Amino acid sequence: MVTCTLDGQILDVDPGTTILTAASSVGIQIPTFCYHERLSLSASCRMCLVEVEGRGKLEPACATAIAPDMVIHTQSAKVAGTRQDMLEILLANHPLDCPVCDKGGECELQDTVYQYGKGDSRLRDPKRVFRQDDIDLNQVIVFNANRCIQCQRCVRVCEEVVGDVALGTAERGLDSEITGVGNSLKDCSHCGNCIEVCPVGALMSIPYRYKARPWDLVKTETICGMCGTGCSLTVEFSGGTFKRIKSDPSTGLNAELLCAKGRFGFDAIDGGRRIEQPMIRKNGALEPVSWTEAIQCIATKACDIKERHGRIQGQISPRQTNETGFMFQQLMRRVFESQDIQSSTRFSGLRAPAAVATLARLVTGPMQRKPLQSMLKADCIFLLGTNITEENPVSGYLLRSALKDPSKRLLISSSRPCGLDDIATATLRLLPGGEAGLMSRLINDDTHGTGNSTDEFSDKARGILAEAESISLLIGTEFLRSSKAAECLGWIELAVRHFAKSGKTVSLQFLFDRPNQLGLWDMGCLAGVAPGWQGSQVPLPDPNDPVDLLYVLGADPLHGGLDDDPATAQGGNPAFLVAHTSHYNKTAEQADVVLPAASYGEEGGSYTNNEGRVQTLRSVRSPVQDLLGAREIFNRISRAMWQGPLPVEAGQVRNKITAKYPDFGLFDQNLGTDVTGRTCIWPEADSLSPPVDDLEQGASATQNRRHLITGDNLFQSGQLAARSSILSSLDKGPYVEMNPGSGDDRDYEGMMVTIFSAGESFTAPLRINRTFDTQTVFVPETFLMGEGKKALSCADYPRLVDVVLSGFADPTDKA
Amino acid sequence: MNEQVLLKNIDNPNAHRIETYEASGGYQGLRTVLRDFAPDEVIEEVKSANLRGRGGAGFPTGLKWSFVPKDSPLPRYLCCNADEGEPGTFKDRILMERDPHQLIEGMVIAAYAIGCRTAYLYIRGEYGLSIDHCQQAIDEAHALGYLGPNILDSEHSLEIHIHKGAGAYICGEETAMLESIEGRRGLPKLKPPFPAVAGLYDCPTVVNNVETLACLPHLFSRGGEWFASIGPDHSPGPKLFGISGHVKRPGVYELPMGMSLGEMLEEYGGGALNGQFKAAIPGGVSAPMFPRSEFDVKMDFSSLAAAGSMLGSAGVIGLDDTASIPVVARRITEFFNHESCGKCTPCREGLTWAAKILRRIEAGQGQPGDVEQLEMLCGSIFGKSFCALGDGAAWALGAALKHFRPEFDALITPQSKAG
Repeated sequence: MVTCTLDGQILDVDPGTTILTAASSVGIQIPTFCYHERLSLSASCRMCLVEVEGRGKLEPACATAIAPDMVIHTQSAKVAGTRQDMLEILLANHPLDCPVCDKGGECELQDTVYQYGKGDSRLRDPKRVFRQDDIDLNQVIVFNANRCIQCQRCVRVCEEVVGDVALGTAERGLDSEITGVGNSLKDCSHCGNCIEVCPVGALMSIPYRYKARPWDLVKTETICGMCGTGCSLTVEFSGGTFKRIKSDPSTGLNAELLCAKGRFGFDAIDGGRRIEQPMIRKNGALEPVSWTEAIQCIATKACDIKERHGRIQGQISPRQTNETGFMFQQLMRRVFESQDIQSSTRFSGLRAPAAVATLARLVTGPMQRKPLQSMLKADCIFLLGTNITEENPVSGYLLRSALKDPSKRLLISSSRPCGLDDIATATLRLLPGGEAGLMSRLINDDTHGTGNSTDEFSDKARGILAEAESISLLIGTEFLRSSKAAECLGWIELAVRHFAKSGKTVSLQFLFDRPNQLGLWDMGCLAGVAPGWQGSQVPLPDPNDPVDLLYVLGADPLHGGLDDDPATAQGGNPAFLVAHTSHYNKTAEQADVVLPAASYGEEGGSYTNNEGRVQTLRSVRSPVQDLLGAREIFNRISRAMWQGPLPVEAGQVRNKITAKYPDFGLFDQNLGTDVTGRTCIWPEADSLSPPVDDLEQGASATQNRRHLITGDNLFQSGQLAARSSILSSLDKGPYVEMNPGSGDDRDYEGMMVTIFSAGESFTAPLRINRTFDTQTVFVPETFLMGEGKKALSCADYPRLVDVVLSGFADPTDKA
Repeated sequence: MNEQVLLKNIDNPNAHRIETYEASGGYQGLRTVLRDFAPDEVIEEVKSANLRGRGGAGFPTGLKWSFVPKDSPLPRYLCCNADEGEPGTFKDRILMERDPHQLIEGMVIAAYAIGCRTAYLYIRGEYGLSIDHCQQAIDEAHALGYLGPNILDSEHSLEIHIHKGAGAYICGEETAMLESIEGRRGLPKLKPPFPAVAGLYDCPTVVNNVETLACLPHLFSRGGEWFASIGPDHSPGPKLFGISGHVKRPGVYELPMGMSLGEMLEEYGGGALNGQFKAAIPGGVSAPMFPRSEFDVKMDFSSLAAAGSMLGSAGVIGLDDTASIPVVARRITEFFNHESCGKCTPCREGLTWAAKILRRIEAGQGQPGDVEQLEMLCGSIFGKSFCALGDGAAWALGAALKHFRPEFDALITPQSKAG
C-alpha cells in the first residue's frame, strides 16, 4: 500500500493507483473529458490537472500514479483557476449553439462549464469554423466538427474496443478534425459507440437527430433482444413514441457498449405487419374469429390428437421469455402430454440423445455460467466455431478490450473469419463439425504430420494451452447444426476435462445468437430435457413420424429461416398448424389457427443470457392492440381441455420455475452460478470413439463446389432485425461473401455469384473476403430466409453447393 | 582558434566518403570500443566524460543509456533524432551532409553500449542531401564491415534504417518521433513509461541527437578525459552553435561551451547587421530571448538555465535594432501554433488565441488588455500543455513580453484602437 494525503485526507491506496481513481474512491470529483475508464490514457484535455506538492507543474490526475507520501490538492485556488482557464479556452472556439444541439441537457462540456466554469470569456476574436453544415459520415452517424473538443475518445473506442480503426484525425493543431477515410464511415461497423462516448454534440445519431430533448425522455431499462450477449439497454420514449437506445455505463456486462443491432435495431418494434386478431382458416382463407373460438378450436383438435396418440410438436422462438417458455413446456408436457418441444430447431444435431446429454452435462457443470468479465481474465481465450464479432458483437468488443493485456493469448478456430483474427495468436479456418477432430488433436498430441493448416494450428495451440494456467472457451453453436454435434460436444467435454485435470482453471460459454436460448433450454424447451435440466424418462417420438399438430410460438419454421426444422422444411407440413405470433410471416400465412402475440418490447419477463445471468426484460410500451398474453392463452387452452388452470402472472410462474429449478436466477456478477457439490444427473458418456478425421473433407470441395456457411452478419439477427428498417438499410441488400481464390480482386469487380443446391439457386453480388478459405462460401441467413430458400439455409449443414461466378451484375439475373 | 573536432573535415568536399573519414582516423573509436570496452564500460566512460545530450534538454547521455533495463527479454532500439526542426538550428544538417560517418560510427558505439541490433535514423524529410549522404554512409559502412552482422568480427551486429520525417516539428519530440516510426500519427505519448523502458514498439529504446552521437567516436578514440577537458566541467566536450539572424557571418561554429553570448555574436557572428543588437535567442526559438543588457550570459547548459533560458538546440539568433519584437513574437507564436499537434487543449486552443491577438496588435488593432491576455496565456495556459512544445511557446513569448513590453504597448495606442 502507498500512503498519500489527498485534500488533507490520509489515504492508503494500492501501488499504481492514479490520483483520479483514488479521489473518486473517496467521493472527490475531478472533472475530465478525454479520460474514459475503458480506453487508454490520453491525458490531453488537461481538465484533471491537480497540484502535487513538490512538483513544479500541475499533474494530470488521470495519468499520475500516487507515489509514497504524495500530498495532493484537488480543490486549491490554483486548480480551480486552471479548470476555469481550460474551459475558457475550450469554449473559445466552441460554437455555443447549445439551443439547437442534440446533446444539450446531457452534454459533458455544458455540465462541466456549469459546475467549474467562470461564466464569461476574455476572448473577443472570431471563432474557428470548420464548416456550416454537418457531415453525414454514414447512414447513422452525423458529425459537427465545430463542436468537437478533440478528446479522441471516439477514435480510441473505435480502435481499442470495436477494432474498426474507422475513425482517425486529419490535419493537426486547431485544424485537427475527426473523420473517416474520405470523410466517410460507410464501411465501419455502425455500432455508434463513438456517439456514445462523445462528450459533446460532435458525433450524433442520425435516427435520433432533432427528435427529442433529453429531459423529456421517459427511460426504461431492459435487455437487448438481438443476441445472447444480453446487453442492458435504456429505451427512451417521448410523447409515446420510441426515440432512441442508450446504455447506462453502470449497468450490465456491456456497460454502455452496444453494437449496431442493439443501438439502431430497436425501430423493429414498429416494423413488419402485425397480426391484430385471432383467425381460423375457413374455406382456405384466414378469417377473424373471437378468442374463444380460436382457443376452442385448438383445444378440440389437441384433445382429438391426444386421444388417438397422435404427435403434437411445440416450437418456441428463443426470443420468448423464461416465464412464457416455462409455461409453454407446461402446456406441451402437462396439457398436450407431448415431450416434443423445440426451440431453435435449426440445431438439428440436438436430435441425437447423446448430444443432448453431453450438452446437459456441459451447461449444468461447474465450468459454465461464469461472468464473461471473469472469463476474459484467463491467460488463454479460445474462440471455437463462431464469428463472435458479427453474431455477438459486444462480447467481441469486451474480448478485444481484454486482449489489450499483451500476456493474453487468443486462439480462433472458425468456419468464417472474424474481426478478432488480427489479434489472435493462431487462427484456423475449420468447417462446422470439425471441432471434434480438432479437440482430439489438441488433447492427444497426435500430429498427423501432414503439415496442413490444422496441424500447424494444433501445434501452436497445444503449446499455448499447455502454458496457460486459465483457459476460457467461447463456443459458437454452428456445429449444433451439423450431424456431428454429438461428437463435437463429446470431444469438447473431453478436452475441457483434460485441461481441468492438469490443474488449469477452465470455463466455457456457448455463444448463442438469440437472446434467450440458454434460458429456454433451462426452462425445459428441449425434447428430452425437463425444466432445470432434469432428465425426461418419457420416450421421444420418432422424428420421422408425421406431426399432427404443430404449435409455433414466435418462430417461423415455414420460412426456410432460422428457427427451421429441417423435417418440416423439406415438405412435411403438419396436419394442423397453430401460429401464435406477433407479425405476419410464412408460418402464419399457412396456419390453420393464428393467434396474435405481444412483440419484443411489449411484454415483461426475464431472459437468461449466454453467461447464465437471468436479467429483467421490461415492457417499454403496451401492445399495439388488445391481446391476451401468451400465458393467458395457454391457461385458456388448458381449461378448455378440462386440464385445470395454468399460472399466468409472472410472479406465480417464477415460483413454479424455482420449485423445479432452484438455481434459477442465482447468478453472482463476480462468480456466476456456483454448482460445486451438486451431482449431475446426466450419465457420463460412454467412451468416445476417435473422431472420424475428416478435417480434410474440404478435399471434396473445389473452387466451384464449396461448403455453404450461413449465419448472422453485423446487421442481422433473424426476424427481429429483419423488421428494423434501419438495419435493413445498413445491410445494403443480399450478397455472397467468399474468397474467390486465384487472381486479383479487380478481376472479380462487379461479379455475381450463383449458388445451386437441390434444385434451388440463389444469386447475389460477390463480396470478396480473402480471409475466408477457398472451400467455403458465406451467405447471411436473412437473405436466404427472405428468398425462402429452404434447402439452402438448412439441412445437412454445412452442405456442398455449386458456385458459379458470372460477369455481369444484372439485377434481372435474380429473377 | 580552438581545435575543431566535429568540423575538422568540414571543408573537404569528400569528407562524407568513408575513405576520407578513415584516413583522418575514422572508425578508430569503434575499434577501441569493441576491443577494450564491455558495454557497461562504454556507459561508464560516457558518464565520466559527462557527455550531455545536444538535442535540447542537455540530459546526461550515459545516464540515459543506463536506464535501459538489463534483464528485459525484448529487443532494444536506438533512434537517432535527426528531425532538426527548431527554427535557428542547422548544426545536425551540416554533420549529416558533410561528415555523416561520425554519426554512423557513434550509432554503432551507442548500440553496442545498450545491446541494440536495430537502429533508426529519423531524418527531417526536407533534408534531402542529409538523407542521401547518410544512406551512402550506411552503405559504405556496411561494405567495410562497420555495420551489419558481426561488426569488425565482434559479436556486435547492427542495422541502421533511415526513416524520413514528413514535415512535422512535433516529431522532434522523442515520443512523437517513435509514434511516427511506428507508422502512427506523430503525437507525443504519455511518460512514464519513458522510452528507455517502453519506447519503440513498447521495447526499451534510447533516443539520442545527431551531434551527441557524433561526439562518441572522438570521445573513444581520444578518451573520456580528453573530452571532459574541453569547456566548463558541467558542460564539457566539443559543441556546435548555429549562428543566424541579424548577423554578418551566419553559420555553424564549433566552440567550447562557456563563452559569453555577446562574444559569440560579435567575434564569430561578426556583429549586428544594422546598428546594434537589440536581443538574442540563445538556443532555438523555444529558448527565452535575452536583451543586450544580458549578453554576458555564458553559453552552456547550466549558466543559461540559471539565467532563465536554455542552451536548447544551440541555435543562436541575433536580433538587431531593425527587429520589431512584437513582429518576432508573432512570427514565433505562429510557428508554434502551426506546429501544434492538436493533442492537448492548452497548446491547440491557446496558441491560436495568442496568434490572433498578436496579429491584431501588429495590424494596429490592438486593444488595452491584449498584453495582459498574452501574459495570462503564457503564465497559466501554455505551461499546462502535454509536452514541451507549449512550454517553448510560453517561454519565447513570455520573454519577449517581459523584456520588451513597451514595444507592444506602443502598438496599442488610442489611435490604433479607434482605427
